[in-house]
Parts: sequence; C-alpha cells; structure tokens
Amino acid sequence: MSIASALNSAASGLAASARLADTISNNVANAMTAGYAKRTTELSSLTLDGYGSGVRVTATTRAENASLTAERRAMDAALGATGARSDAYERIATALGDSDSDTGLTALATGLETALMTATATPSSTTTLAAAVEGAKALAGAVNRVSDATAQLRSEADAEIGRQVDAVNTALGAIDEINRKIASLAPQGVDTTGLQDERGRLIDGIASVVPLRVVKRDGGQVALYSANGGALLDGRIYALAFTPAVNGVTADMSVGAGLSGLMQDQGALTGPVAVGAGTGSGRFDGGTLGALFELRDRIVPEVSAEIDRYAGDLIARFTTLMPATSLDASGNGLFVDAGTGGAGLAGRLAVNAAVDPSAGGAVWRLRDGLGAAAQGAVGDGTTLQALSDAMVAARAPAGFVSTSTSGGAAALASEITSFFAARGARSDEDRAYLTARQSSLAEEETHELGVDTDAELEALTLVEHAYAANARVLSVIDELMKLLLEG
Amino acid sequence: MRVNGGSDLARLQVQQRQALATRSRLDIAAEEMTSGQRADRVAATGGNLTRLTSLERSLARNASFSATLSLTETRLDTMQASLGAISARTSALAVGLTDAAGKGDVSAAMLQAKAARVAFTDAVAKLNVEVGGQSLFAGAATDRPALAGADAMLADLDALAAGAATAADASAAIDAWFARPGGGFFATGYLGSTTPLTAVDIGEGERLDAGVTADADRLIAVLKAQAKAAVVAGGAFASSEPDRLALVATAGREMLVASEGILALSAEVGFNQETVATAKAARTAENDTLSKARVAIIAADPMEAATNYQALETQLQSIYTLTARLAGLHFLNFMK
Repeated sequence: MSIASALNSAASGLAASARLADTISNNVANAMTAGYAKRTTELSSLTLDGYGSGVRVTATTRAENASLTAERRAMDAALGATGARSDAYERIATALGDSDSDTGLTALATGLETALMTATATPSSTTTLAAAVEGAKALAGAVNRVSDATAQLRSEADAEIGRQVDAVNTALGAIDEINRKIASLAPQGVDTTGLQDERGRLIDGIASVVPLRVVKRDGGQVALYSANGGALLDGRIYALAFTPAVNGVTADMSVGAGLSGLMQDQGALTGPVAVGAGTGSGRFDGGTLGALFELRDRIVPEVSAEIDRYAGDLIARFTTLMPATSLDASGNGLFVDAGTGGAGLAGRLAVNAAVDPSAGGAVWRLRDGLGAAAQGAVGDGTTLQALSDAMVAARAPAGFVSTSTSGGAAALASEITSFFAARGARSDEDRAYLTARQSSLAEEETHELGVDTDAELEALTLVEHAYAANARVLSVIDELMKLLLEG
Repeated sequence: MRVNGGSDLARLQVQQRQALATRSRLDIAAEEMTSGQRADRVAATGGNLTRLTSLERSLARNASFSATLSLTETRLDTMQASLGAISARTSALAVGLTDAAGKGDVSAAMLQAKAARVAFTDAVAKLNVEVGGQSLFAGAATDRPALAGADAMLADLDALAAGAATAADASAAIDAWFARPGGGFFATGYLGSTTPLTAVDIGEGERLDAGVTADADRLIAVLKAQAKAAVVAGGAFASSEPDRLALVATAGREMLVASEGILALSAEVGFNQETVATAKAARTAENDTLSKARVAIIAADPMEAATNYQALETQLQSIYTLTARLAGLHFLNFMK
C-alpha cells in the first residue's frame, strides 16, 4: 500500500469512467441507427499481489438475444415469401380485372354476350354488328393481356431469382471476410462490435431471401445454414448458381426446357449441382427465393394454363356449337388461334379476320356466316342467335382448376376471376398476419437490443459522479503529496 | 405484465406503425363513405366473387333484354296499327260489297269497287311500313319494302281482268296470280324475304317469334279480295254489268272470310304485345330484385362508415397527442 498505488487506482477509475462515457456517447449517438445493438462496457477490479489496485475495463460487449433475432429472421423469410406471392396474385387479379371494372375479363365476356343479343334483335344494323365484333376483339384482347401478364410475371420472377442469388453470394463473401477479420482482431483485444453490427446487417439482408440458421463458431465467427439444412457458409462459401433466361420466359418454358433450376457449388469437381427449389421442401425454400421459384414454376403457370383453357373454350364454343354453314372455309369460328398451337394459346387468341374490318373483313359476316361471299337477307338473325346461344351455352369446363360446373363463357370467366381473387385474398390475409407478427417481433428485438437514451443518461449521471469522485481522490492525493514534498 | 426495454428506436417504430395502420384504415373508411361501396369486394362476398359477378351479369343481360323489349314493343304496336287499319277497311268493304251486289245496284257496286281500289293501295302502304328504318312485314329483308307499289300490282291485275271472258275467269286468273308459290304476286308483288324475322330473346329462356310477313296467307286473302273488286273499278267488264256484279259479289264473299282472318292475325299480334308487356314488367321486377341483392352484398352502410370514420379519426388524434407527449417525457429534459 502506498500513495502511489492510490494514485494509480484513482487514475484507472478516471480512465474507466472515460471509457464508460465513451460507450454511452456512442450508444446515444446511435439511438436511431437501425441494426445497432447497444454496447455495454464491463469492468472488473484489478488486484496486484492480493491488493486491490484499481479498476480494469474487461470488454465492450454488444447486446444480443440470439433466439429473438433468429425468430425475427425466420419471420422475415416467411413474410418475404408471402409478400412475393401476394404481389403476384395482386397483379394476376389486376390482369383478370375486377368484376366492377369495365375492362375485366368477366365484364368483357358479358359485354360480348349482350352485344350479340342486341345484334340479334336488329341484325340489319351495321352499328350493332360492329359493336359485337368490337366486343369479341375486346374479349380476345383481355385474354391476351392476362397471358402477357403471366409471361411478364414469370420473366420478372426469373430475373429476380438471378438478382437474389447474386445478392446472397455477395453477402456470403462479405460475411466470410468479416468472419476472418473478427477471428484475427478479437485475440488482439480490438473492439469488433462494429464488425459484428455490419455482419448482423448483412445476415439480415439475406434472411428474407433464404431462412437462415446462424451457428456460432470459434473465434467469434459464424456459420450460415438454411432452415432446411443447406450449407451456405461454414469455413468456406457454398455459392449458389443460377442462369436467368436471356430473353424472358415464354409459356412453353419450364425447368430443363429453357429455364434454369437452382444450383450450388458444393466443392465437387463436376461444378454446381442442382438443388431443388420452389417445392416448399427444397433446401433453400421458405424465403423469397423459394417463393420466386414457386411463382415461376407453379403458381403463374397454373394461371396461364387456366387462361389457355379458357381461350380454347372460346374457340371451341364458336366452332362446335355453331352450324357448319356459318364457319369459314377452313372450319374456323369467331375466335381463332393466330399461331400454330401449343402452350400460350391465350396469348394468340384472335378474332377471325373475316369479321374484322381492320384485317380486311366485314362485320356483316357475323350475320351471314364467316365464309359468306356476299351479304344475305339483312334481317336474318339466325346466325347471330346461334352465336349468342353459343356464348351462353353451358359447356363442361374440361381440365379447368377453377371450376367443374358447366357454364357460359361469361360464367367461366367469372369463376376464373373469382378463384384467383380468392387465392390472392388468402395470401393477403397471410401477409397481413405475418406483417403484424414480424413487426411485433422486430419491435421486441429493437426494444431489447436498441438504445434507451433515458437509461444511458441515467448511467451517464453515475459516470459523472464516479469521474468527479476519482478526480477528487486525485486532488486529495495531490495535496497529500504536496504536504509530503513541501513539508 | 411484461415490461419491454425502452429503446428509443423501437418506441418510434411502434408509434409510426400505429399511426400508419390507423391512417390506412381511415383512408378505407373515407373511400367507403364516399363511394357507398365496400372497398374489399372479395371480403364483401365472403371470398366468392362469383356471387357478385353472376348478379352483375344478370343485370347486364336484363338491360339487353329490356332494350330488345322496347324495340319489339314499338314494332308490334306499329304492326297492330297497320293491321287494325286494314281490318277496319276490310270489314266495311265486306258489308258494302256484299250489300251492293246483293241489291244488284250497279252504281253502288261501282262506288264500293272504287273504295276497294283505294283500300288496296292503302293496305299496300300499310304493309310497307317502316320502324327505325326497318321494314316490318318483309321478313328478314328488313332493308326494303315488303310489297311492290300498288300501282304496278294493280296494272298487272287490270290486265288479267281485261283478258278474261267472264267474271269467273277473271276471278280464277286473280286467284292464280296470288297462288303460292308460282303466282305473279310472289314474282313481282312480294319483295320481302321468305325467311321470317328471327325470334328475339326477351328474358332468360324466353324467346318471342313476333314476325308477320306480307306474304302471310291471311294478308294475301285480303289483298286478293280487294283486288277482285278493285279491277272492276279499274275498268274491267265495262260492257257487262252482270260480270261486274258477279265479280263484286265474289269479292264481297271473300272479303267476309278475309276479314275474319285478319282479325285472328290481329289477335295473334295482340297476344305478342301482351307477352312483351308481361316480360317488360317481369324484367323490371327482376332488375329491382337483382339490384337489391347486389347492393346487399357490396353496399357499405353510410351510417356505419361515418361512425367508423369518426372513431378512427379520434384514434389517430390520440396517437398524435400521445406521440407529442411522449416526446417530452425524456430524462434529458429533467437533467440539470
């Protein structure tokens, strides 16, 4: 025991107070920084030869709640997936059109139906015939639009998969680098909390893409696995690989036929291997990446197949239900496939050129038969009546997923719209639930890990006291030493 | 009760989320209040949009039926007026012709014959009537008159009578001219189509065949009887009073039968008129029911929407007040 040791103790107290104040000021400065976890500076008493000799700063640690963060990240992934699905359904619903919009599929089918009825009542009127032809063109246009929208959605999903795979790979690279830095800096006693913050932010960034499990490894490093057990980072990077379709996705494409699946570099000499995705049980499913595969390969193709079937029904309705004499020379009815068959019929549905004035046809052929060379009796509504009947005739919906009840063209359109709108509504509900759940988890996490300025300022008053006390001790020691020296 | 830590950021996020959620609910309430319709149609139909779309489709179809009904009503009314006018002249002539021929009063018979000639011309005009640019009695050929001009037909008939030796011959020649299918009437007189006007849809599964063509047997009978008297006025048998009287008598007899026929035709049209009137009332009633059903599904009760709006407004105000108050409750403000 000596005055010198007392001096040392007081000096260490001053230094510790400064460190505490430093931590507090850093916390307060970052009170509004998202992803910043509050720091705590830990102190311990310093003993020398069994005698207390002041205070020591042991470490500055970062607040953590591993289970809460893991739970929130899982929710990020689930919300991301539902969000992607719900957005897609929203766009499908927009393309199909709501029943109260005049441009929806159902409204346009009903429009054609009533236009044909009106034309039947006054077959001689070119105006009503032209209105019926316009109605048919509008309906074909609506079917084309839905088909275009599905192709667009699939192309976007494909491109987005490419972007997200790149983002995951980039993030994995950055996390790996931080891992190495932390492993080398931590033993030297350097503060790595900033790096940990950064690493947490990077992990958060890809947690919504693939649901993650974060496993702690030696030296402050972390390993990343997907919730379904796929390795992403564990000492080395297991990069994902994907090749987006260059010119967008068309209706006839599927995985293996123009579309790439999800691949991963697993260190084998053969290069990346295929890992299932979009099935719900794939190794990287559960986040937006899985949802995008699901959209590209299952959900949207289901819609486009359904609208293809609807286009097929329209074509068949106006050929099989019409008298042969009203068809054109090649046996085509009011609606035709403008292409050569195959998937994507809805995108090629067109009105027979024989009745389309802009394609060199004439509207009176609607009344006199598509193959008619010259006009017949202008008041003869027999063919128009047959068209009107064909439009509303109950046809069995062969292969439709949205309905099994026979119905007219407008009724089928309504069933299709309703079916996908209901699915959209369900995924909207899921999304609302998950959003609420995610935000309450995120709030709870921020409450736990974020900075409470009140608490920090409260601590600051203590630090202030401690600093003043230590300073007082120093000045007293100083006086004591003066007494000794000046005697 | 669990007390959360008091992270500033978390507190801010909670307040922002609450304000945002309330704001968006307020927007929905405002939309429902102004449009009078539920904002979420899928939710309003309990997830089954078909319920709504089938109602809306029925309404659209009903509107189309109603338009067809109005059009058909005008057509039938005009037809009935034409037939009524023809029928009135026919029954008057039937009596007049028979009476004059029975009395052997040649001058009276000539007078009636002249009236028959006028009646023929008038009947042709009535059968060539148009509604909205559409010929009514020409079948599917709605773009042209049903009959050729009365003068042209009378000229043909006069020539036939002039070439006949006796009244019976003349009557037979005129019969032949009106005979289906090879008679002159079908070659030059009737210009319309043999295809009848297409039946029209006036309701779900209700189809009305309301066409009457000028080549209907009952109308031909009238024209034929009028023609037989008309040729007398046209100068046939100028030198033979008995032939003239005989022809007028034949015309009178046939006119009696024809006038019954045209009354029956008139009754048929009258029946169609009634069908149209009934259908019209039915469509209006259906329209009301369908509209009510539709409104019941998607209408937002304005009272409820307004109350909801007010409640949300108050809630948002409380959130703002709380945010402002909480901002003041910081330790910093009390540190000296």
